[in-house]
Amino acid sequence: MQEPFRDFSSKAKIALILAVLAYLGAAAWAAFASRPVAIIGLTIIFAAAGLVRRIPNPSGGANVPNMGLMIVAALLWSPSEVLIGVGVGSFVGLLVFWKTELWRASLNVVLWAPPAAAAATVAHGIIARTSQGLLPLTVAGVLAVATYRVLNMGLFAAYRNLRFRHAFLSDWLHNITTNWPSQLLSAPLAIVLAIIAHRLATIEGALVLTGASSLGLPLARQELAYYYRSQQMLSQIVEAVVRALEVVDPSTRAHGDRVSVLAVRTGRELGMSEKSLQALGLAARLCHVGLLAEPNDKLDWGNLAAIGGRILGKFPEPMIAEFVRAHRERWDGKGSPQGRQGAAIPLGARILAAAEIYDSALEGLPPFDEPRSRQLTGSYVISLAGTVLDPKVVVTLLRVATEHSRELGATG
Amino acid sequence: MKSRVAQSSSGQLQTILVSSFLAAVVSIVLLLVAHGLTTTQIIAAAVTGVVIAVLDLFPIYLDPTGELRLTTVIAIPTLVLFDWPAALLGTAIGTMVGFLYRPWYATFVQGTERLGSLIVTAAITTALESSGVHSEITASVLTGASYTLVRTLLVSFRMHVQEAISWSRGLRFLASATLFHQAVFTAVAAVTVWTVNNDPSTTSRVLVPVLAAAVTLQLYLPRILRGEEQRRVLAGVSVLAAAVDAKDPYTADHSIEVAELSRRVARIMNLEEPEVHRIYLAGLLHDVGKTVVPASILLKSSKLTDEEWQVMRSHVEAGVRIVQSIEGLADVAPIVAASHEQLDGRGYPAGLKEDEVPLGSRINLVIDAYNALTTNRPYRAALSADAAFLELEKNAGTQFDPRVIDALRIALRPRPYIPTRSAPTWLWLLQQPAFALLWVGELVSFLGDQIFFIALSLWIYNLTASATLLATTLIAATVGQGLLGFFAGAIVDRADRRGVIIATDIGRALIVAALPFAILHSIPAGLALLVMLNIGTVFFRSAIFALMPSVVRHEDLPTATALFHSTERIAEVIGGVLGGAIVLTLGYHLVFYLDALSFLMSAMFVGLMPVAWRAGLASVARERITVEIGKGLQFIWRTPLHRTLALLIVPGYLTLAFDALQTPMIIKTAGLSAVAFGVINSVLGIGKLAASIVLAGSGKQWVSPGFTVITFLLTALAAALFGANKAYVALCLAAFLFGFGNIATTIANTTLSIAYTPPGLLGRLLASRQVFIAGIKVIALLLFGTIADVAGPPLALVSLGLVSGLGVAIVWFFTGRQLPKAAAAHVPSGGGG
Repeated sequence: MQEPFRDFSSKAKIALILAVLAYLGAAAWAAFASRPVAIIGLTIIFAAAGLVRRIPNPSGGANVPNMGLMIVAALLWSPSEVLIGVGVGSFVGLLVFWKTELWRASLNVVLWAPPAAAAATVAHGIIARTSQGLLPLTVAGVLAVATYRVLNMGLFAAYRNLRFRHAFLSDWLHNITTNWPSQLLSAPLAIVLAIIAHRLATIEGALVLTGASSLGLPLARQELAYYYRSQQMLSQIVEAVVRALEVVDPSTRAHGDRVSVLAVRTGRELGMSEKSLQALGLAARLCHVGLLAEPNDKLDWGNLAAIGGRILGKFPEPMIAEFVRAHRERWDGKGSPQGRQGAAIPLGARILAAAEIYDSALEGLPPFDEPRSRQLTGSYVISLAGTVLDPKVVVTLLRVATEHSRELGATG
Repeated sequence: MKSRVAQSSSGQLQTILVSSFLAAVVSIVLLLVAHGLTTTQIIAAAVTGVVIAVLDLFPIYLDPTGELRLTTVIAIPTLVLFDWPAALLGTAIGTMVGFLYRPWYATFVQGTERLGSLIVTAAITTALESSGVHSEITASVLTGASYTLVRTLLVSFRMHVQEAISWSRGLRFLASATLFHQAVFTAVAAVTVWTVNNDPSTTSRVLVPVLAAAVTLQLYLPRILRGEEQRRVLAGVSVLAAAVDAKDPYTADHSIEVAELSRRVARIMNLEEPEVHRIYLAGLLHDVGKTVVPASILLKSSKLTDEEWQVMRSHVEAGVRIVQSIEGLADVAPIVAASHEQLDGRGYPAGLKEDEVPLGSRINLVIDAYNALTTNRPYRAALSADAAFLELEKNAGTQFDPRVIDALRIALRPRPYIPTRSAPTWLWLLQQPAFALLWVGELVSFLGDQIFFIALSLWIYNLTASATLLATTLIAATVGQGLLGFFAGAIVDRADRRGVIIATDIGRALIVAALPFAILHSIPAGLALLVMLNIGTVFFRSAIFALMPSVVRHEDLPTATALFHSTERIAEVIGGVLGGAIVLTLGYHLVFYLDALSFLMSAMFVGLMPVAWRAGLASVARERITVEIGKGLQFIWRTPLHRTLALLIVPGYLTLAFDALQTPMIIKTAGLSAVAFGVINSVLGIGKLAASIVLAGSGKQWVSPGFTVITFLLTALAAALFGANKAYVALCLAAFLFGFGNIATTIANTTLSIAYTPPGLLGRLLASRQVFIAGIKVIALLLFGTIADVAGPPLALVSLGLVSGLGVAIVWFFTGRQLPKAAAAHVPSGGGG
């Protein structure tokens, strides 16, 4: 998916250009303090890392499996060498092997190289101040991971804040806290290699070790190719369920897709994590799955939600079932199936309820007889706020819906 | 009703099983202590335990089924480098963490297999050492090999006993699936041991194995993630199956039952594991095409017309289309396509014959028919298993494959022990997030308190060298209870309970953090802070127990209360030891901050509880707080159960004077040493712990007003016994009985108070109880302390026992007789508030 640079807002453009210039300045300054062999070697290694297959990120986009390699570099090489090697190498690798846009490659240089250099600074600071040995290296490795992760995610959150207006702080914290065990796991091999490198004490030896890990780490990562297939299977399974639903009620597919888009955007505005948003999107597509069991003619919405929750309870992600089960609860506690009230209803379910009612009213799906205008729908949904729907969710939803319809109008 | 009985008896069996496993672990620990663990070994065991607990979180999923954990990577180096005690202890600790988040049975089986293999391996390596294998690398390779061998044998034995899978097949499967990985782990272990041999400092001996385990985990992580993803996909497939089953109320879980039984049958028929997995998936999906059949046809109880049959039969092709649309399930499609074919060629849709029908489809067909026959249908009731088999055999050879029917019969033969998936109540409770968080929060803050009081006593004594001031301090630390107890109860009943807990936690954290400065400047100011701190504790405890009914089901209350008490007793022991050690190594200040930190952590845990705000509060208009306090007291007096309990407390808790009498009795009268004093006190603690564990394990059915009377009498008897003789052993026995009775009473009383009080009044009731007990304790201390001074400790203790016992008997005689009818049934509702 190519995104041209000119679509950026001017603020984002300026920020990116400034960041790249700052990097170039720092790199030029750092070049004086570096060994040429090390710079050339690291650049080649990081460029070659572009050969590694990308891993699809569950919340969209792709991850580059080079974090482990960054930590190896941070422990083995000096900060200035890391700054230049990681930056230039990744830039070349992304452009040549991944064929990304120029801006994306530059962006990743800014996202990766300074945090890696900072991690190297921290690690070397610790190693220099303490005696040689296993314990200081371990501490250095763990702190290098933490530094890299915190800075990298901070920069990434800043980028998303500038470009997509995601909330900076919550985005940052979410990203730091998700999946931290596997992040910490980037350190062990780096520590072992650093120990060996200190024993060898030659620059060629260290280069060979870094190069080997640039091959070895992603080699194991190739297992993740299966990830692709599994992700695909999961979406195909959801698709199969949706298709079965379509037989019962032809309107469910389009309805589910629209509700899914609205709900996910509203949820993002309200600060839900990417993982919950993914669950919310699936829950929206499948929220009428209970129709499979209970045909349309004897409709009981609360029961339908309960059945849907039971079916989706088989999913390993419990949130999906939870959202579907509770999306017929009411804000005032008079809903079904459990009569939960207010904040006791999961946020995802409250959003799903609002988005579902909004779209049904707009399109005239049951229980509504005929489609309404956007304005009428809006005032109808507002009239439900505080009794049926969560007022805060309603406000956000209406704003998101207005933006969304404007965007749709703009593209056609 | 019958099934409930059966459930509870199997629940007891599970309690016994888990308890025996825990008992085995405890006895291992005791054995090891007797064996004389060195400090290094203890550290190694603790580190191994933590690493194993972490590694257990990341199972490697084997293709296509089963899982393997990386624990060998750390267990073998620990065994070689630190000898068997450390390895066994560490493995036991690490494995037990699994009880908190996995089905108890899985952890139990795994723990037994691990410990069993490790013990045999340890024996083998010890034998090898004595026969002259000196190289530690050879030793670790041999250890790894023997561990793998023993474990494989054990696991295949279990598979044979439980699932009737033949030995050879089990061994073959395990060998092909796990040997490679175990070899890798053994190699890593050998490298680890070699590295340590080159640099045998303690740091590297502890750190290198951890690092090696982490590197192995890092390199295995992609495989682990991939396995998780595959499991997600499998779960997705069962969503499809559940969607089909939901269509027909008669067939809830039909697909999953067919799939699981098919898998067992296929394994008994000695099929290879990949094929077994395909058959399992086909079983899940054999009806998936029915999503396109209208419910009117699917659920019709009369005979279908030809056209309707046409539609019905079309479900097979529709199912195949759905299965084929999912990439990765393509090799399952042929089995689904033929799932309605018969051996004689009269099936549909293709009319395949004999060997043309895939074996998987034949298995699915038989299981499908069996499951249909043994469940209720619109047109007939369920058949018994025997009748179903008669039906199947009638069509053996024409419709069904006779070999499959034979295998099915083996699969359904009763097994020695087929696990039900439910855990014992206390374990189940700990697996509930809300309860677990409340429990952890309380435990952490309790532990902090214990450490704090040790540090406080030592510090005050160090600063002033005055025993009187020490006593004043301790009294200041308890007097707050009586002062504001009633008020605390009323607050707990009108404000959000969770909020009260969090607020008092934060408040207490601030006070504790301020204490070091206050005490250094002026001791009275410090004492004032201590009183405030204790007032906070009253709020905290009332709110914690008042919140309990919002978190725990009514029938689980006894277990929950007992669990709280048993962990408190453990924390008492640990906190005492830790407190002394921490003061010695870190100094006083740090202990106070540690305690403040423990309060903040407790606030965090309680804040994370998934419980609605204002849970359990009555939404009634508020009155003046004194009026509300009065209403609470009125409620106690008007309700027969609570009146009886309150009256029983008066003579019953006189026995609390025991605390002050035991010291002179042991030291002065019996003339025993300080060591004996310590022993008797720990026996008392063990008695308390025993009571709470017994009640946590099986107390559900016992707790009643009559039970509290018995425990009160037991406590009184123990106090009298303690005063009646001077023999060391007899004193120990009496102390044990006293501890047991005392805690059993407390648990029973708390449970009854919580269980039979409307939630809106709970705070006041619990707080009043604390106030009563504190008051009685003060009176008893003064009264019997005087008697002991005048007439000697033995007489004081005997009279204490007699007065308390008699008092309890009299109260019960006058108030308790009409109670049994009224108590259990009478749960008053409303009652103001």
